[in-house]
Amino acid sequence: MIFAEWKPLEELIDKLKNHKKVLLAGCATCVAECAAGGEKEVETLAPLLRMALQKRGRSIEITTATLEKQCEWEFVDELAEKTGEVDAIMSIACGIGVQALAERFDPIPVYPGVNTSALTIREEAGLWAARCAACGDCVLGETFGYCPVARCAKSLLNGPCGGTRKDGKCEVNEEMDCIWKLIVERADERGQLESLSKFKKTKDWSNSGHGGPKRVIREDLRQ
Amino acid sequence: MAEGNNMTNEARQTDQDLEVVVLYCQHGVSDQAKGSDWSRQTSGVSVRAAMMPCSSKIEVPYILRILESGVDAVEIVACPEKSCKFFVGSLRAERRVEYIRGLLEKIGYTPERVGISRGLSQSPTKLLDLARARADAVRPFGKNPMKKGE
Repeated sequence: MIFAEWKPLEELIDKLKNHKKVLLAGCATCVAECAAGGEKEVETLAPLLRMALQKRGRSIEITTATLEKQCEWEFVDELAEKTGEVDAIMSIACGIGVQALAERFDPIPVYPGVNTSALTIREEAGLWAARCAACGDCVLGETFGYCPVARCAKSLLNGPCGGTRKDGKCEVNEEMDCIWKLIVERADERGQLESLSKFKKTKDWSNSGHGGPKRVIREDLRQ
Repeated sequence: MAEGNNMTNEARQTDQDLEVVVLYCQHGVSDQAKGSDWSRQTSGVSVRAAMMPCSSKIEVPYILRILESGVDAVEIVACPEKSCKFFVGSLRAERRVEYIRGLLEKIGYTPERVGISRGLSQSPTKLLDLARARADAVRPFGKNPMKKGE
């Protein structure tokens, strides 16, 4: 899922302090899964912001809505009936949702309420960890299902750095396994250790952000 | 800035009636507390009570909405950790209370406006004592700034 976290409350309060009527919009998909921007978080943040602004002598009306997806126009359009009288929107969806609202409801200012930071899996309740870096040239087939781009602190592609701890943890984060240790162990378990020594062609980074903003056309799906 | 930093405000508000909502687990109170509405006005405190199937039923938005409505403090009454009928219910309630207190602190509200206590077979008298104790914890900071007309 796309992972996001609330921005510091003081930053959100500062953004809204000069507005009178605000729509706080959540998204029931990824950011709900990571407990940052779903309906529960919208209904938590709204009273908090009202209380904070009231305490600072600013009276504000905040209405709320949580869309099924803020990254699909069909769902975004559902907000139209709620944007008529607002003088600002705060979105706690990922950056895609924020931009969708900004485009659809221009010239109403749309503020991000979260920082979108990673593509994660929920390892356990209250713990999310990065699994994908959207690098555009997936190597998981050669690394036994562990992504060194997202899960190595240095995104090393050819093996561990020299800093792996004795217990197999990463030198950058002692709670995190060295991903190359896990790759080597799995390769060994499958009797395919030799495959890691094979020559690999240079990774093509041009299909990620390094090649400029992504834009994909599928003629078979176009109308 | 914490609410209570204004000493003049404190002194003026200390002896006023405070409004406390008590949310209590049905498994942690006596039959007498279950069978009657013991919400009441006592000396310096107005108490409103609501029984829940488990203290873990408290949700963060729910508590914040209560505070937003102007209530001065909320006391959650949970079972002792090892007596929780749902094993982790009271623990979850405790974590949510801590989370709410952190949020309140970040927006400059007194975290003590939300608290949790534990016990079994608690009588209406004991529950009222807990409400008074919660009121006393926030009394130095005055009334909730959200209270209408304040």
